[in-house]
Amino acid sequence: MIVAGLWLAWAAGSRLSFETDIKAMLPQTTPDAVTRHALKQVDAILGRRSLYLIGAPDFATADSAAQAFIATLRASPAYADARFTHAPSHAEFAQLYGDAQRLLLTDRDRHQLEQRGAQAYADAEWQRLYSPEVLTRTQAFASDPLQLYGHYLAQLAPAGGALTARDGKFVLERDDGIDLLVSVTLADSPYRLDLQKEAIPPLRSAIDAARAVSPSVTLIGSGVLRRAAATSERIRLEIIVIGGLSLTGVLLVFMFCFRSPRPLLLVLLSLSAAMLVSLATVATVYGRIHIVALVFEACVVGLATDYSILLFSDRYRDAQPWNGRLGLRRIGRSIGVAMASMLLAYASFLVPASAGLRQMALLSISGLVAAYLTVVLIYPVLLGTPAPAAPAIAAWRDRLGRLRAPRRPTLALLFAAGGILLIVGGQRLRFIDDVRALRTEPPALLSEESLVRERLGTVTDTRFFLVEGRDIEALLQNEETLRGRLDVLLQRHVLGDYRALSQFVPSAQRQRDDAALLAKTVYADGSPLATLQARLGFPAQAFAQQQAAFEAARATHIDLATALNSPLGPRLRDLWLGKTGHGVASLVLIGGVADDGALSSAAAGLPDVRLIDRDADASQVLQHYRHLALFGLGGALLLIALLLTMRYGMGAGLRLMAVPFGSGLLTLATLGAFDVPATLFTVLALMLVVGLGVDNAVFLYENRDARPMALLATSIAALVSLFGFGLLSASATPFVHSLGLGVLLGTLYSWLLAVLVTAAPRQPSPAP
Amino acid sequence: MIAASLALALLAVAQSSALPTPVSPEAVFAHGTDAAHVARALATATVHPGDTQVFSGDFEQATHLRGLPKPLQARGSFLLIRDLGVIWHTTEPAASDLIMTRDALVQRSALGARVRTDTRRQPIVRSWTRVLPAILSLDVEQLARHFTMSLHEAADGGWQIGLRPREDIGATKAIVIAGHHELEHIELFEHGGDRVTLDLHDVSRSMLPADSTQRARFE
Repeated sequence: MIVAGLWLAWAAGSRLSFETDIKAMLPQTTPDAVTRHALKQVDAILGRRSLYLIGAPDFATADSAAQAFIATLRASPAYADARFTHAPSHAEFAQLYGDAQRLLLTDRDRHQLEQRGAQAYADAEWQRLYSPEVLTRTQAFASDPLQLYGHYLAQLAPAGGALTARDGKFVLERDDGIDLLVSVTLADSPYRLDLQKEAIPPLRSAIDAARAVSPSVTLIGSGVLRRAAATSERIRLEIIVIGGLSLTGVLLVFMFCFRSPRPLLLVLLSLSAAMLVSLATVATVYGRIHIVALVFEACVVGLATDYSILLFSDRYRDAQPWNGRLGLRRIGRSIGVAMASMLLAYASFLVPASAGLRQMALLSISGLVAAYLTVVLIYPVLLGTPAPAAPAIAAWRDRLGRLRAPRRPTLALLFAAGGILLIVGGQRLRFIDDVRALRTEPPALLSEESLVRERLGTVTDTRFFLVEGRDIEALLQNEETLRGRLDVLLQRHVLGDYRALSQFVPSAQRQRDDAALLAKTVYADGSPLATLQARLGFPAQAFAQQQAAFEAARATHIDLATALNSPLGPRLRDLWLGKTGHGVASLVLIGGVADDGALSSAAAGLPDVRLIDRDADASQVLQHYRHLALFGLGGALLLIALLLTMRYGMGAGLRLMAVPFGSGLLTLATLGAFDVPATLFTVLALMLVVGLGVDNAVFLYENRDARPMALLATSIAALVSLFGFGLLSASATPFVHSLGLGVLLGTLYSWLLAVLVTAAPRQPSPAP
Repeated sequence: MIAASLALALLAVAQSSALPTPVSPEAVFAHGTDAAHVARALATATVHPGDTQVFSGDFEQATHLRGLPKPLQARGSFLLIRDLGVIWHTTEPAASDLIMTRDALVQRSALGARVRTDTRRQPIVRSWTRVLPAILSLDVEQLARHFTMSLHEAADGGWQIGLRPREDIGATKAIVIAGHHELEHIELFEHGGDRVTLDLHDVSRSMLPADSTQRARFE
């Protein structure tokens, strides 16, 4: 124990940390290095960054509030950065494009020029120059006469142009005030509990600091951190509340049944040993413990109290003198068989290639072994000579002892009820694997998020396109093909926004094509532009100057390498993945997706474009692992059946097997009958149910000559399990609820089945 | 009756034929100041401009393009309604309407063709649909949101306000607005050397809400 404690202290101090991202339980779904790189970059962009809208009735107040917010976050090491978001200036664009700005066309302008030429542009320009609309130009007439470059810049405006850059800071106008945009970057993944612990208090202070500026200040944000932190906090609270209530329940049962603090202290010793050893083992092997594995482990360790209860209850076999060694001699074999069966069962979880499942198996196995060893090695020494059963307990034991196999009609009725339940429930049983459904986030934060989305028009999605090419030119061309399709989705309003490198840097091919189109439609002799200039009163050489400027622009070229090193580089580098094994790759980020199907079809038939949808992938993986876990469960049952038939012979072995097998099936059927969907976590719960079933069946069978005591022992054990697991089903976290409900039902069924299966045949006149 | 006489009293018809005090833009921008100072100066010189509900009159626009020997001349009338926006009705050289509201910029040709630009999607257009009405109603508080200001006051009661944008309003880098009892002249300087002037004549400013005929013009 002391060694394990020191070991855990070392492991905790040096490497133990908790992981709350459900997706971290799953294996890397994408073996391919490019995708991994892309996911990592997207995580850095989306996972670590959050966006806050700090609002006030006027700019000055919002600005002071935002500055207070930023200053507080910058002082914390949990944040890598907090800043106002800036719009790229015209000067930055001018620096990037230089003379080549004359060659840039939006898709819309390209299409118009191709279809109808430049006449409409020249006419509109003439009208504009004679009205105050001339003020809305972005460039001087001489450098952008038909405002084609102006259109190009407008389409690069972030958030679909909803933002205005005031004093270099992005602001969002509202009817009743103004919002300033602040971008915050975390130092590490928001799913790390230690980071959450470090990052949330400064965030709260920063929010308070912003609100302290004026009572009119509002603050809403989007981003993973607060949602992940809220989830961890809820899980932490549940662990405290459910764990606390469960412990209280267990304590009450113990005090009532065993009337002495000694068994209680011994059980606590066994629980601590199981907890310490299993945490230390996993901390040593993995470093990081997933919070779901921890919940699962808490159940298993609770299950380990079974061994203690069975041993203590042996005292109530009769009123003869008793000590721990005697008890162990009598029941050591049954808990040995039960533990061996459960180890076998959990060992089948070591096989699937999922770190999460393996963690669960490792936690359970090491915890069980530790609990078992405490019971067989330490209890006999420390148990002393407890008193025989108190009258109330003895009465309970004797009442249980009078339980016989039910009469035939009752049995038939039970069978019929079970059969109907299995059929009805089995037909209605649904499994869900959608991670989105398994993730619960506080409604207040979700509504904040949708408010941000509403105000900004779009928020970057977790899905994105991964585009590859054998070289930069091929990559940009592939992006352009994809963008052609995305533009259609934009027009249909099924997509809100996208961001791609080729928006900033067209492919060389496109630059050449556009230049050719412009030469033909805008800069040719006698073109609508030439006519417009003459009509406005420009001297003849003015158009010649336009032509010369265009020819000079044609000699230039915009290239990606220069762009990445320009002042706009940091924006572009988010999208650039660089060299890969077979060329280069980039990201196309999207936002405001209203039609999932349309999105996935956008990449169809484009071999170098892939839609990466981690939630869908993770759901698929959950499904995959649910299947694996079901197979594992099947394997475990077979192994246990083998062990039990070897030990007890074919007939008795198979009858005993009916307990774990039947309780598992009945649990699933009950969920189905009540229309509660089952998940991977239900299947994991079934692993516990199987363990309980084996415990009960083996113990009752091995101690059939002391059936009243055995029934008392299994009933106390079931009661203890119900206290713990029944409460888990009250959890608001869907997977914990799923787990708890599964175990709750399973415990009841397995007790019932074990009592039925091992019941002595009904005798004509049972002894009173 | 009191309201009507008040309206009459407040209905200021500026017939000033005097040109704005000729001071170079550089000189105007040399006197940087804050909104409160500008508001005080305007309150002394003009008639409660911040409370304007309706402002209308004629305008002459001259667009000076680099390389163009003569400026492009246009004229017409304008109508500002505080809670709606402003209509520029150009009569020469061709008839057209430009309607600027908070939500959209609509161009309507004499033949009825309409081109609508959504201000939510176009930051520069959005800025101008806020900036021009603020200039016309001499709403210093609004102007302070979009510009840093400077002020030059002349001995004859004339004033010139220099406005430098705090946000991207396109090619315009500086604006000078000038007048005596009323706003008379708006001059806009662009980065590329182009320049636009708007001279306002026969203006009338009302502190009473617009009537339904006036409002109907925005539809």
